[in-house]
Amino acid sequence: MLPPKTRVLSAWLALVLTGQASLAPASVAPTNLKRLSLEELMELKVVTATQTAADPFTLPFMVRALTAADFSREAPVSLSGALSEVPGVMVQKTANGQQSPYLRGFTGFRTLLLIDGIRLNNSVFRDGPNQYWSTVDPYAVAQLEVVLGPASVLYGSDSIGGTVNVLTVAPELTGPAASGRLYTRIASAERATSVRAEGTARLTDKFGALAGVTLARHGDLEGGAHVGSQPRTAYDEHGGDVKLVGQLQPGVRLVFAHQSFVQNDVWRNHSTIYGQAWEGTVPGTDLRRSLDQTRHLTYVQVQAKELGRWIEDATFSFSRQEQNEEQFRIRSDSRSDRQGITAASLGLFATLHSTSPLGYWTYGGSWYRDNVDSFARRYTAAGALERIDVQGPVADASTYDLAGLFVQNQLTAIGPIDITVRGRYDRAHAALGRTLDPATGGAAPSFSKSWDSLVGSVRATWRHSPEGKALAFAGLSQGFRAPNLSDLSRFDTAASGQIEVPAQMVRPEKFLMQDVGFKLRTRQLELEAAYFYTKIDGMIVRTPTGRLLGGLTEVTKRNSGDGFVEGAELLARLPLGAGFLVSTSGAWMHGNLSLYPGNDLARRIREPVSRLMPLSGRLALRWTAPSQRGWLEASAVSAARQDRLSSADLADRERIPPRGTPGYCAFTLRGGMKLGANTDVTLAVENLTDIDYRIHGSGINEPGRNFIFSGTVRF
Amino acid sequence: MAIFSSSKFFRSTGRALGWLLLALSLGAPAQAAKDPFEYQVKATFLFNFLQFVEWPATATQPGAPYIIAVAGEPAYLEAIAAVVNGERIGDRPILVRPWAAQTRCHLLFVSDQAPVPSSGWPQTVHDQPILLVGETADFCANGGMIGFIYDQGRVRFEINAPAAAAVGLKLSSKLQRLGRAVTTRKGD
Repeated sequence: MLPPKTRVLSAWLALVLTGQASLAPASVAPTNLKRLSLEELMELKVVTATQTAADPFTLPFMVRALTAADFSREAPVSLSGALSEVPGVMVQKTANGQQSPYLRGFTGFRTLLLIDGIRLNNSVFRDGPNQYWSTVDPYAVAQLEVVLGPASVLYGSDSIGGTVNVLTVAPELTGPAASGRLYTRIASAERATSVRAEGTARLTDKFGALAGVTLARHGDLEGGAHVGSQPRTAYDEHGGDVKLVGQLQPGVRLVFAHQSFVQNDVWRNHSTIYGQAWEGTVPGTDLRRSLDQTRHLTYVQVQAKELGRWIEDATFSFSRQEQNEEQFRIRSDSRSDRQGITAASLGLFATLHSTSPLGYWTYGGSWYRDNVDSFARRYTAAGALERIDVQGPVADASTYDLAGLFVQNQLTAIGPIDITVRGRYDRAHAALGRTLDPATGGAAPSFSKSWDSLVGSVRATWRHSPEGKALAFAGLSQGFRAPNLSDLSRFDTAASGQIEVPAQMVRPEKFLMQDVGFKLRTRQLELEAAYFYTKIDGMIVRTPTGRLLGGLTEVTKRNSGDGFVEGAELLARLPLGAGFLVSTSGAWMHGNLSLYPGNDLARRIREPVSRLMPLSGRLALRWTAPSQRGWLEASAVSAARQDRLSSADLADRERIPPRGTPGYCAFTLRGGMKLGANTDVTLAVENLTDIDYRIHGSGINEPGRNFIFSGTVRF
Repeated sequence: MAIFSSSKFFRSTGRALGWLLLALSLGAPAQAAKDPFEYQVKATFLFNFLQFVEWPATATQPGAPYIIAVAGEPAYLEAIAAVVNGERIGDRPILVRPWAAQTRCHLLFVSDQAPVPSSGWPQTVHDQPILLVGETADFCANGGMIGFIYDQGRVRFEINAPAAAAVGLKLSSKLQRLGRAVTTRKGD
């Protein structure tokens, strides 16, 4: 029998896989805990003086958990915005409303987002920053957690830079028969107002329902003192969600949920004449480039405990998720086009765990099928339909399957050192329907292709004392990303001045991460630090074909990227007494990639990884009132100039200044208090000195001096 | 692994281990702290307990607050305060106080860091209608009413219903069903 510490870590990982539990249950805020019944409290796993580890601090990874309390304090404008204070994360913004977090140097389809355990990622996700994370309602999040580094063994394809799990709000089966929550956020520099209304009904002790609606309107973003208003950055978004929870019988719970979210008219203004030159950037020439997108997720999940003699608990999930996007572009000569994608994904997963004389086992499988339709229609300057393309951004009438099996067992080795070994097998299959032949402009023959991936990981954890006061960890983790429809058939403007044509001869990308780290928690200090080195083997990168297409550089995907990203992250908290707490965090990254930077296929060079996070840090001093009813915080975030630019960065004149993105230091004041029993308010002044700055790789500048009010009323 | 053989990796690993040693040396004198989550979970249990216990009429007045007293770690005081802040049970607010001999309370939580009175905790609150909750081993067997225990990483609790009944407290059937029944060890 394995010791409880090992068992619970296994169980935690299993629960994470299913999304039925938080990545880090230890970080549940008191406000959330209060929603739990006694029975549910008794199922929580905790760190105890003598037993197990479920707190992020005690886990041998760099894990950050953001609770409802963190959301209330930081009042982020979006889901991605909530990650901006996590060391090792850089939240790039192609547009206001299109944020794409970089986790340990990777973004887009090299990061994975789970919603209640279900993959948001699908086969149309593209390389580089993308906007899909913006389809998650930030105000319907109960908890958000970030695991940095490759975790493909646990989560499958795409989990390279990191994985974020979003747990959405759920009804409680205890407490009042009916309750509600009203939330509002108003931000001056964003000219934004967001409102969420939420109601919960407990129909019986065994059945509860929750419904919520979110509306948000964002005006043109006001930059710093010199940039001023950034035109065509306004957009609207709204969402709704329903969740029903039923306790079918002791130990068996059924969850049904539906979520919808819509974004309208989000402009990539840096590509248009409305973009603003800043530090040498050059705005684009389009008259318009805007995007609408929607996401609908419906799922049923069953969580069961003690299924027979061998299965301790199990989770089964069935989901359908539909993602729609449509871009409207008007070029400088008034020709226009509309193109879009509908990706409908069915998902199944099962996760079980069992105790045996050989240890505590976690095992299961998942299968996702994407049915993808795409379109592109071209119009003349007069607005007449000129042609309908064979495909849109990806091959039309296509399917993509991603199936995986995993098994995990944890072994306790010598003394205080735990050894964890995991393995996973995945198979991806793409069947492309209507695909463009770039040579003829007509349809290419349909084709299909499959790939297999087998990955493993080994991790050692040394604990200084049974209390988990200090731990050190080291690990070796393989990661992979199977080629998707975007790799195979994307025919779209991918980066400024480039056009991409389909590629079929690609294989899965492989990654190997080594990391070491330590964590320390005493009464005087909490400290976490890690160093990682991720080896990149055969990254599918845009490679020039040596041809021009429509005046743009033609590129295609090949496994020609080899290199590495390394970095270090540090987080420290020092309680000073009398309610004062100092916290500081920082991240450093460095990376190179060998690739073909220009049109010359004979010239392969080693250059910096594109859009790599600059040296960044944060320092904050917080005071909490003895009554716990109020708090104040002063903080500073800073980043060094990032002038290690790749050739793609240098070519991206619309977003990246030619001499690199300047460094900055922005100050923020925040404060919050409880007004009565049911009302919380937060006031903040971000970018106190009204500086002009932007996150590296972004198409817009950050807000200037930004007064933010947020308030929550519960009833 | 080729990467492991690289000097860069070993240099970095060496630096990380150096940081670790430094941190350990800094932290060594400090006393090991409980995980905050444990405080939060137990605090939430206490909040729940209030709802499943009936006090004798002499111990309650309409609208008067429920008072939770905490003996031992201040962190518990903060965690419990955070959980019950703004909460009411019926029309009654909940207050949290550090324990002192003269403290009047409805629930006394005794952390494992609290010094044990020479007569033991049950005798200290003898005959008062105070729900006595603790987290030390055999707390209920030694006369406590509810004692936290651990079961495979989960917080569970033991219940000594006779001890509660002896001072006029009624524990709900749900509480008794969920808790592990224990009686006071003979001779104590």
